[in-house]
Amino acid sequence: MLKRLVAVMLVVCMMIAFVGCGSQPPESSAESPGASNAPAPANTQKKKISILYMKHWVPEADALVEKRAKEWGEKNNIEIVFDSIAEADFEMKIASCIENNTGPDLALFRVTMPIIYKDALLDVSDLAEKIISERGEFFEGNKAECYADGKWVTIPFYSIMSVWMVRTDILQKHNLPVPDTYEDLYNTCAVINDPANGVYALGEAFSHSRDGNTFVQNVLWSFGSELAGKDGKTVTFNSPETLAGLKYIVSLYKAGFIPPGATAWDDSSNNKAWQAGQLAMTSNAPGIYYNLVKDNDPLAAVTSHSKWPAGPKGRFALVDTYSLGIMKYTPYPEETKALLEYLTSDEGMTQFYTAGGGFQFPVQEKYMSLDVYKQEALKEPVSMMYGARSPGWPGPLTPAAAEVEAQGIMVDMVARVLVDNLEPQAALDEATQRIQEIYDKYNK
Amino acid sequence: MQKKGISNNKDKLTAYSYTAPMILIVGGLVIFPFFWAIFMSLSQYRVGTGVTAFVGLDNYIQTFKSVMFQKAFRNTMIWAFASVLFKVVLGMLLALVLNQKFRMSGLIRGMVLVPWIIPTTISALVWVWIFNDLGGALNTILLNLKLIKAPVAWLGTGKTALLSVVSVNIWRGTPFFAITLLAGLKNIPKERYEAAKIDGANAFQSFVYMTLPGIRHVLLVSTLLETIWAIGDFSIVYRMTKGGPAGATHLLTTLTYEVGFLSGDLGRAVSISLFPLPILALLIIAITKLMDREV
Repeated sequence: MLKRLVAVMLVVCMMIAFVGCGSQPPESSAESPGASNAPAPANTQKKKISILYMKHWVPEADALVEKRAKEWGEKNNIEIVFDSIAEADFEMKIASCIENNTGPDLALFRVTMPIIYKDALLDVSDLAEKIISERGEFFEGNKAECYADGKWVTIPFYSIMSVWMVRTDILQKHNLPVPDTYEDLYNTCAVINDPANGVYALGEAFSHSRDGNTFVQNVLWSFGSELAGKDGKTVTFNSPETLAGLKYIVSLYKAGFIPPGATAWDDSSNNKAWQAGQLAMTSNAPGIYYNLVKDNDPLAAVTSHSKWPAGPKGRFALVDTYSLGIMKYTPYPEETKALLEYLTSDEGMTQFYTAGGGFQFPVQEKYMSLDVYKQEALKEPVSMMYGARSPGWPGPLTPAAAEVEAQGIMVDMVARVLVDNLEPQAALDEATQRIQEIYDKYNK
Repeated sequence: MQKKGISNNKDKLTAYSYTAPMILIVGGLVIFPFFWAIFMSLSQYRVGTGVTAFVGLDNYIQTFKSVMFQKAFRNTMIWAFASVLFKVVLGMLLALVLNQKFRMSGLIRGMVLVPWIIPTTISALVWVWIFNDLGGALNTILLNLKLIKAPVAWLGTGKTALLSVVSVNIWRGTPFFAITLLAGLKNIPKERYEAAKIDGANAFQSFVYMTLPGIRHVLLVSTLLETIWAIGDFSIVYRMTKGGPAGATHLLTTLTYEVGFLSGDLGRAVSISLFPLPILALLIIAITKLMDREV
């Protein structure tokens, strides 16, 4: 009898343990501490808000966000857990958290992520509208990456933009100006390219990387290429303009201006090549310059940033918006929103951009006048925020456009010509087919 | 009779209660996730939305038609079978060498395991540097030996990229085979070789008629296990090429990651990952039967 009782108890315990694994988070508190210093109820158990943050290459800015969040937590008697992880690990972690309905309450998202995960994010339109009414509109490119289905799903926090980098000493040696158009770029490359002496004219990745996507997208836009129509549903990628842009990129590579291995580069490859003095021009976030200055590298003195070259249809730059969003599953939506409001307050943003030394570009015009953006190295590229675009432009950034970007289809198209010797039109047809498959999925 | 019946029921209940934890664990960690994955693959399922529609085999059909999937499937098969073939051959050679008595053999046996012990992320980064066309070690060596005239973009061309990542996989996995086979070789009594030698058998005959049969089961099991692992491998390729250039090294696992985590389309991603299931099932059945025969 005793044996039977023990056995039954064992089974029951196991069942309870399994059921317990799927227990729901605690109910949300009705009270909110607000963005001010209003204290949380004293008789309740201390609440905990977790923040998942992506490491940036300016650690001072990350440290400031953590410090401010914890200050807010102390004032409101809420424990703040600040978890900062590498960007490369972020997607898998956040996707797992969303699927398991557990994890951070507040997270920093990147580029297309808010659109991909929009259904898991809390509507923060009220806060966004408040910020807009107080400080003006967000830049168009930033808004597109945080706004879905007629509502704000995240609040734009900062922008990272690839800027055009040149070695001034090399250009001066040949008495050449910074190329203003893509035609100039080709001609400049033809003069300065010197692989025999270990210096390539241009370093651009043609792989699944942010740098690769950005370069290809910017050039294609400049030639008039469009992913989809303004309805965001009709694929218009297969056009003479896209073909012209593709052929232009191919011509740069086939002329030998770009290292052959760039088809396999990752986001750090051009940084390393630049720091090794192997490139005369590249496009990258100003992180390379930041590191050169930090390391007292003599290359810093001959590294200059400028606007991207212009194509037949204009000058374009893709922006990576980093934005803060609240997870729908959070047990503390009001408190988390109050924390978000505190972090994105006027004072908070000013401190943040200043701590970042200007390497994180602003998301609103108001902050363009900060001293950090007046420094010579950043003044010109930061002005490109006015025309910065999001993936999918001129159409909206839809989940389909986000998926095209995430799968690197445009950069694959270029690589198919470079690596597999496909005819440009055949590569374009193939890319269009892949894009159409994605759009069909969403248009059903 | 009645007492016996009660006793049987009591015994059954006791037996069930003892096996219940294991049934729950296997059910919770293996069976449920497996059927859930199949259900996901038959659904429109995005990160954050859950199941929004049942689409039947549509995910499989669309996946099968996809150009990138076809590339990834072909690459996965080449990756798995080429890697395993070379690992078996090189692992066997290494095991035969390590089975000999020589000075510092213990140290060398330990050293052989180094590629297998180093975290894949680190070794992948080192190999990226070795294969780099701008000052990479391999090009520098080959240029100095005058074996090539210009640096080769090992990871940058369709022909060499897959070859490069496969060679890294072989480098990493050969020690596992070597040590596993070495353990098998140690179980073959030395007297048999001595007897064979007296009977006039040469080294090749000893290998074919004594060594191979002696390690047959170890060899088969480790080959099958390694094939299963290779089909599910992710880290080397993702860290070295992210499936590029132009999908030349995309594996089913890297494609699954891209579609599932970067694009948020879990339904389609799971359908990609389930495609090699029949091959894996056959391998698993083979292993199970082999193990049963061993017992």
